[in-house]
Amino acid sequence: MNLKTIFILCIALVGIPLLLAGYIMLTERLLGKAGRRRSSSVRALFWIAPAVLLLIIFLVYPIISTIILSVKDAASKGFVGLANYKYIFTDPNMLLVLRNNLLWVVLFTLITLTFGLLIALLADRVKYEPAAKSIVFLPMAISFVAAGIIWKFMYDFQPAGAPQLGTINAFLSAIIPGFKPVAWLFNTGTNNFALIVVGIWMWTGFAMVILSAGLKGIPVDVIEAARIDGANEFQIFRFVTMPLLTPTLTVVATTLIINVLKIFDIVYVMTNGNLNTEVIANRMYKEMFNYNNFGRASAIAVVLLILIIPVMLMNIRRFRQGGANG
Amino acid sequence: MKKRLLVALAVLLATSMVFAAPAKKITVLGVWGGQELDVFNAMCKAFTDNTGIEVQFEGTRDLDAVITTRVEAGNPPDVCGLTGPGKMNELAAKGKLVDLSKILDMAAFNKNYSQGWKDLGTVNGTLYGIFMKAAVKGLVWYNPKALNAAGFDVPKNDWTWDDMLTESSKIEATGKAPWSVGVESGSASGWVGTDWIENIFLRQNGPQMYKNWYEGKLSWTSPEMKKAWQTFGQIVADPKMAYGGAAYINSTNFGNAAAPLFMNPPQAFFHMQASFIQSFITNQFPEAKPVTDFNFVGFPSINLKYSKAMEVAADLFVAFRPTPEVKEFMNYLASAEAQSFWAAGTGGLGTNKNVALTFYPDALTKRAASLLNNTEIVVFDASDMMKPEMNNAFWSAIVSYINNPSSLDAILANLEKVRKDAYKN
Repeated sequence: MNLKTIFILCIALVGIPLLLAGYIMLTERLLGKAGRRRSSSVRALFWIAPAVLLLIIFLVYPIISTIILSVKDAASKGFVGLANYKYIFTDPNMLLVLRNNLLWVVLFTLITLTFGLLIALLADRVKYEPAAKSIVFLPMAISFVAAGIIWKFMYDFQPAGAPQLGTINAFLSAIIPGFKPVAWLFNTGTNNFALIVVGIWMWTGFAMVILSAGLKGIPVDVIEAARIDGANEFQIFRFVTMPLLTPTLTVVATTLIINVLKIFDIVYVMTNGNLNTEVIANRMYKEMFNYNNFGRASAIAVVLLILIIPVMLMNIRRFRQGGANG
Repeated sequence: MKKRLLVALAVLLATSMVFAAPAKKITVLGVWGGQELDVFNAMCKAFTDNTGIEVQFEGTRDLDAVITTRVEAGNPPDVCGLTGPGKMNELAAKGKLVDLSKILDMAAFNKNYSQGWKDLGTVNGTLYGIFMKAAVKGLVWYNPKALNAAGFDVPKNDWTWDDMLTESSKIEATGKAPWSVGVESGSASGWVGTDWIENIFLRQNGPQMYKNWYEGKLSWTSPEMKKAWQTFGQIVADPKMAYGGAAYINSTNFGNAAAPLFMNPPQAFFHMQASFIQSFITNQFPEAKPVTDFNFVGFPSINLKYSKAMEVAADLFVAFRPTPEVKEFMNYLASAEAQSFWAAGTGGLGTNKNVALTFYPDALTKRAASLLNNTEIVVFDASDMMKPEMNNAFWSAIVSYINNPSSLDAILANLEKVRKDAYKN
């Protein structure tokens, strides 16, 4: 970084707070002229205006511009109507992409939730809970790209007879006599699942932490009461814990779904979408940066946005209903 | 209060202007890292020492994305190093590149460069790119000691595809795999296979048909195309022919794919790869000496009419701004002096005819360089000449074909669909 960049940085760091302070002082002066009565509601408007302005510039404008680009051709010149959308929903390669995302959403979300819940429940009953939970949570701290590379080594394949460098093939060859090593990432029967496993490995910790917190939030007296009424452990889980945990489960599930719809890095690093493993975000990236087809890339982005909206609405509704669980 | 604020801002602005005084420098975007970056830096240092112009390099492995974003944002680098003419064609068509004939010393350029390289750097009659760091593609590498020890003949320079098959089946009969192939390469997985198909297609159908093909004028479902894939299939679709079968081919990085030739005992005997694989071999097996431990012959000829054809690839430089600094830098890049750095440092072959053979580090690289200088028909890597979506689909198709050769018709039909979509204008 040269001096000039540092200088611009300083201006930004000092100048922007100064600008905002100046803005507030200015509005206060204006409000001072108006009556005390009206000023409080007008003040709210003034204060929210910069945030709304930034939101419009960085969120609303790009969304509108993306929607406009999505009905134009590759070079964003001619109008093509819904041709880009038609391509997304009729091209066999695109349909495969959508199928893969569905596979991810269902398998990844369900398995991550199940594992997260299971570990949270089990860890709740042991003394070394913090240690156990830390270990499960650790992968969350790794970037997707690093996780992809780690698992690429885990899935490594060498022909039968050669020393197996991949952990999984080495382990299986050691315990099963005559085991034929599998190229997990290059076998169309296993590759999508091999990728989803990486996602699950990374996100189980997240589901576990939130669910565990939810579990701790369930009042002890409710469980005590159930126990006194003669409920066994399974019944307590089924009729007390689960209903009380449902809001938390929903929040975790929606977060997982939003994240899995955007899944990109794992696929990009490990297979680059070859052999039927491509997902929406990868396709969008390729259309945009490799093929320079701005129309299609934008249309895919819009489809992704539409897919995420209901999940997001659900999440917001949960937040509104409030409660510590949200 | 307000006054003080204004004064403070004014002072800040005034000082920033002082610092903004322009220095003599140019910005270069490229893909190089590691040893290649060292060579690039050495080359630039000689330039800076002579001219006082500082070269600011920005490296990325994701060049396509970075250059697209920066060009669209109106913030391109001064000069960019590209890995193939495809992106140059696209940028030139959008009118983003500098006409090099206006800034290069054209008399010297015309004298030092063969027509082939000039044509490759030209789009619609205008020169936009200077090539360097070339590689000869489609060489067949072998381990002479391993072949001799096992009692097989060392391949000859004028061998044919049938000779190759005969030799391979002899090796196959002993239970060993004749070939080692690996096509994994991250987001470009499959490109090694495209080199195979290109070399086969070129030798079956000649340079004119080859040109039609990469220009998007030939159907992927044509009999010529299918035949080239099936010929490739004689190697990769036969689990006994290539070490480890489809699973190994698809999961092995191209950089490690020559390793079975040097294992003890050797697991394979032939490996097809460009001249640059030499540095991978010597990095992995520092003991291995060129010529005695590993050597190469040309790709086996198929139709003898086209046996003198050779496929090449090279990096190239394009410019986005015609400033005086860029002018000096581009002239320097075109010189034999600049290109000698690549020759000496990485074994990258010079495109400037005056790069002296003495700069090349060993006998094998010298041979590759003289092959490049003396070949009658030079064609560029076809997949790199195609539109990016075609190239990407071609790479993926290779991986799919290796995984399931019986679905060739479906794979070619899909490529044909991509071609119709990409070249409809």
